[in-house]
Amino acid sequence: MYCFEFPCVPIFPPFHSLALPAMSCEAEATRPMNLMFGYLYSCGFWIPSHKAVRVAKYMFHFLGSYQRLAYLSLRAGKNRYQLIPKLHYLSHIALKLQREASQSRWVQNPLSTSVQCQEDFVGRPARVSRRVDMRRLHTNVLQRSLILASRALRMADGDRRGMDAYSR
Amino acid sequence: MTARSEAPSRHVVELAQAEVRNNPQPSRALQEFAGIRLSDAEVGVHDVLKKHGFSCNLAVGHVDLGPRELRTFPYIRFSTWLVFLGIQRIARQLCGVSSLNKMRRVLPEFWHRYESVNGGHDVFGMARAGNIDLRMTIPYFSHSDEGRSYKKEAIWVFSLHGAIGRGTKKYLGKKKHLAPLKRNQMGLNFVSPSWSWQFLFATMLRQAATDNPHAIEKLVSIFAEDAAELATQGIEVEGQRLWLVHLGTKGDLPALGKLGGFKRSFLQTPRGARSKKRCLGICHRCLGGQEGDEARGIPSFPFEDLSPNPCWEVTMDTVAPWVAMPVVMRGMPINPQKKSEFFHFDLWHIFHLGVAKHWLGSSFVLLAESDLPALAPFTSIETKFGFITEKYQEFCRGKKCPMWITEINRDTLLWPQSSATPLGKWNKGSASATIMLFLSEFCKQYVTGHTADETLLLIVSWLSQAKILPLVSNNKFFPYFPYVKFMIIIIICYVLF
Repeated sequence: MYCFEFPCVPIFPPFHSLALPAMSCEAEATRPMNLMFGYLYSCGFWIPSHKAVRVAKYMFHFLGSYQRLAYLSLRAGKNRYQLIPKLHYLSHIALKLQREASQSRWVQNPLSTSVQCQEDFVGRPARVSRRVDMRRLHTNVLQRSLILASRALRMADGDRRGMDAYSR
Repeated sequence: MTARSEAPSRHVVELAQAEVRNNPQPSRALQEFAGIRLSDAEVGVHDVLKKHGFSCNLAVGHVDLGPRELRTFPYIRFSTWLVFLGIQRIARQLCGVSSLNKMRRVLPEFWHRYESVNGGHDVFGMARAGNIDLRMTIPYFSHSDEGRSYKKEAIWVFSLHGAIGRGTKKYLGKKKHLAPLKRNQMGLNFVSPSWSWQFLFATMLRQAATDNPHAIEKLVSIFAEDAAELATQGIEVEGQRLWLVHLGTKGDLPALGKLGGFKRSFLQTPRGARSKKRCLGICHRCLGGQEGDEARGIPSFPFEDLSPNPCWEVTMDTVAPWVAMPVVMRGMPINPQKKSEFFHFDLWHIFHLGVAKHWLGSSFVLLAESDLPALAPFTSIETKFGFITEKYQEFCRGKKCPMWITEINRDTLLWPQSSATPLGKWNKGSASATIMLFLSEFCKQYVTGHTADETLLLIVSWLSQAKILPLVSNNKFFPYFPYVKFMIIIIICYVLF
């Protein structure tokens, strides 16, 4: 079984889902991804290597199912499951987890370099910039950001969440 | 104060003046506000706020980046932030610990683990040479992205934050932060108000950046110069010498591409099986996507190879993805064996705002086109989508998930006709997360156990329950119970036989 565009690339995984109908692949691949994200969010910066191996397996399992579905769609002559570059980047993340897990007890959580909190943060100075004089926008945004930072820092001083860590 | 950050300064002064007129005993701060000249309210108001501790009293730097407003362009050096924060807040907001003593215990453990996966990093050479003290070396990341300013004009924002923090809500809820240091996973930086742990360096309107092509590069070089000094020389804060090491920069793929000046990025993705101009690759980490040329002996490395042993793995960090080393990395301690890893992939963007949108779009279309018994009573695609939408809304209400998209139909899946490629229309990561959960639930209810071939369904069931080992045990009281049970059985077998 080979990938349609590049005949040299074998479709992964070759072991089980080749005989499965397309929808079973869906059912099979969606749940592991949900489980994986749920687990990663419950972790810290480091995840134990034996768990990282499983996370990588989940990702590869999903990627394999996606590739299989892309193949089935092509065979049926339908435009579904486009092979996009982001699949390649996802396999980089899975590969990093797998390789690092084989050499260390601790592996860096891929969510440590994700940006959902930063996406939220970017919106804040952007929002401030919609409410200042355009002629001095950059200065005013920075000055007003300092007001917001000051308030947030005072709030964080009173925030005890997680401050009892490393007591043992 | 939030209101103040969004109200015109002039208005604040006018209000203060009115209050002073009517109130026989106004406070000192109010009198100072009322005394500000209306023509120069913006500067005066900030001065008063700083004086009374309602704004961060730190020195904003200025650089000449071009004409008009850009002549004195403002930015805040990271070192300025650190001096302002002080040691206690640095420990809390950049490392997620409550005191300096804890920071001294946590950071060596962090670097010990980091060394096991990034042994070649310059920081360890510096530590061995005695130039830096890893007990006082704080890791951090930078982030750049664009937000929406006035009239939807893009505004570039560059900020910094500590690599470790207090953890996520789930992490804290499970009390994982209470584990002893050697077993502690060290929290991610997810809780606490955004402004308290993400430190703004500068912002710039896209128009200003376009008019002055090297403006962003110059700004980033100022940051890099400061960051290099923080990593090599360190900084004295309240009598303590601290070093700060920039572990890398993150952002969505266009932001990384801009900052790194990559010659290989997703923008070079080939559109057909063969391109007129040979594609050099689509990834800054490897030669994945490179199209081969048999005549010149250049091999191809298809990025579509998604296997656990991909052909492109050997090409990682063999050819630099940039023409000149990016400014953001200059002078910084890095891992020379993995230079391109300085630009980190973002799992959240890649999955929720990329892969998942394609996955979900195609999957719902596949469901609607199928002959599932649950969808059999509905004759048209629209009514089938109507049923799926009904179930989706029920699911969101039941699980109390935010419903970022209200319907699943041809419009939200960008699928006007059968020949089109389905793709989720939403641009919200959590919309993908919710719909992924719903799809899983829908498949569990209507797909597994409801298709014709029972043998295959048994395989599906076996795969999803047995082959996929649980990451998290359901046993809240003792999560290691299944493993202990397994060990007990082995011991009993050993004793008996």
